[in-house]
Amino acid sequence: MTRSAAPLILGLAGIVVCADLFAQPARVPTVTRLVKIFAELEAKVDDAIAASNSSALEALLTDDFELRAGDSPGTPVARAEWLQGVAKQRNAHRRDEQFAVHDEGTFALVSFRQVPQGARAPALFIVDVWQKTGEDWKLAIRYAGSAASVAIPGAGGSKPAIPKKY
Amino acid sequence: MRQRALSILVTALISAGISSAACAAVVNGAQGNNGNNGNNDSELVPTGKGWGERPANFQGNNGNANGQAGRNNKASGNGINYHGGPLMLGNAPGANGSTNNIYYIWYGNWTGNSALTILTDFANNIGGSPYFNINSSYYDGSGKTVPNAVHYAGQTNDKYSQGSVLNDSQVQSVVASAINSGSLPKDPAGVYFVLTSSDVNESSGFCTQYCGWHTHGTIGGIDVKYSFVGNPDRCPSACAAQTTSPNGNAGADGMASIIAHELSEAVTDPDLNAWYDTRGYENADKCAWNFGATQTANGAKWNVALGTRDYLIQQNWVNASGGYCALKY
Repeated sequence: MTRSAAPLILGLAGIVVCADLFAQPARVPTVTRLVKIFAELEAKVDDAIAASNSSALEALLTDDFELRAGDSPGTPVARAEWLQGVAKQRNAHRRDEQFAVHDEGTFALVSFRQVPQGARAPALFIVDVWQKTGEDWKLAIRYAGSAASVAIPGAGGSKPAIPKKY
Repeated sequence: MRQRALSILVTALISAGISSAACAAVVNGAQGNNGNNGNNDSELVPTGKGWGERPANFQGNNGNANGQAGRNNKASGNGINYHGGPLMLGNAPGANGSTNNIYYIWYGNWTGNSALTILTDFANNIGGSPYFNINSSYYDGSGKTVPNAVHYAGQTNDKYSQGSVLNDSQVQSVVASAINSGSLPKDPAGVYFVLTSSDVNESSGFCTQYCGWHTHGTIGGIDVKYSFVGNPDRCPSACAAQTTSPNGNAGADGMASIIAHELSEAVTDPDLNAWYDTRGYENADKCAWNFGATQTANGAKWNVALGTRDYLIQQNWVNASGGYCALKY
């Protein structure tokens, strides 16, 4: 029983991983105007980090920017500390996907999945709070945690059943 | 004993390998959104080994019904690739085989809304226009192109049969109901648009992720192409290009651009396995929210004249001359 179940379990493990990928609509481009705008801003953040361009990065942040990480949400990472930390991420390329933008007037809540490229680091689920300052948007708060599949109360019932393109 | 254990291990690895390979196929079809913009025709394809590889020869076509990249895709050299699936070639019954049909399902409350005439005029005049002719630069495996012809073949109303919050399945139910009740004909050469009033939400991401979408499904035994387009009055900052619009109805004018977007994609990628680029972008996705040269009248920008009206319509991707966004072809 145990022996005969082993291949099945391993196969199912693969299928479970696969099912998580299937759950996301394939080849999802972004089409709302705000998704386009903020996907471009997030790409600027990624590019500035990859290029170690601190001046470009700082220009995208509010003065009191902070990071709240999922494993220690009660301990904010302040702006200077975060800048110091991401400075070590030179040449770290990322792919951001599955954007959603909630327009809250002078704030925009931008959520997406960030997948490191060419590395075995895990994907992250990020929620960025962008603040309108004059004509520009600046990143005020970043909430980040693992994008690994975990049981979340209330989640899992509304995954797309119909493949569609935007 | 050792032989049995080895057999189990090999079986397990094969089982896992099959799953991984299947996953790889999906991942390859779902390459990210931040790639380069334009003419990179290189594309990962499934290898059956659990990872994707660059194809050695980028010719032929073998897509599948899930819209996954085929093993031998055809690169156009224009920044968008053909994956082997069907296009809508205008095989409309009773329409001399040279046009595609579109249908509107007005969902919710549209009473007294000028959208009824603005979008009907749009549907009656987009076919044959230099704008829609861009889609004639797309062809199937035998070289047949999408005709520059669209026939507005019918409309019906649906007053909240599925409530005021729709999910994707309910959108399909709206289409199925219109067809099965006889309100609209069952037409394999048709694209059915579910147009929702501003008090109706679509819960899978309308306003936060998308302004519209298209897909296909089996209804009444045939493959039906349909699309959801919501009213941007619900979220002007996300789905309307401007608040002062050429026809005095920002929601309807916003919907015109989104209908143009979804219609262009539906005729060139109806089953989600024909024309799209390495990032998964279909033709209209490649030019989303790019309007090109515009003119201004009464405080509203416009760029395309159709019939007696002006509209502000996003550009579309021309599949020729290296590929580019344009308003006409």
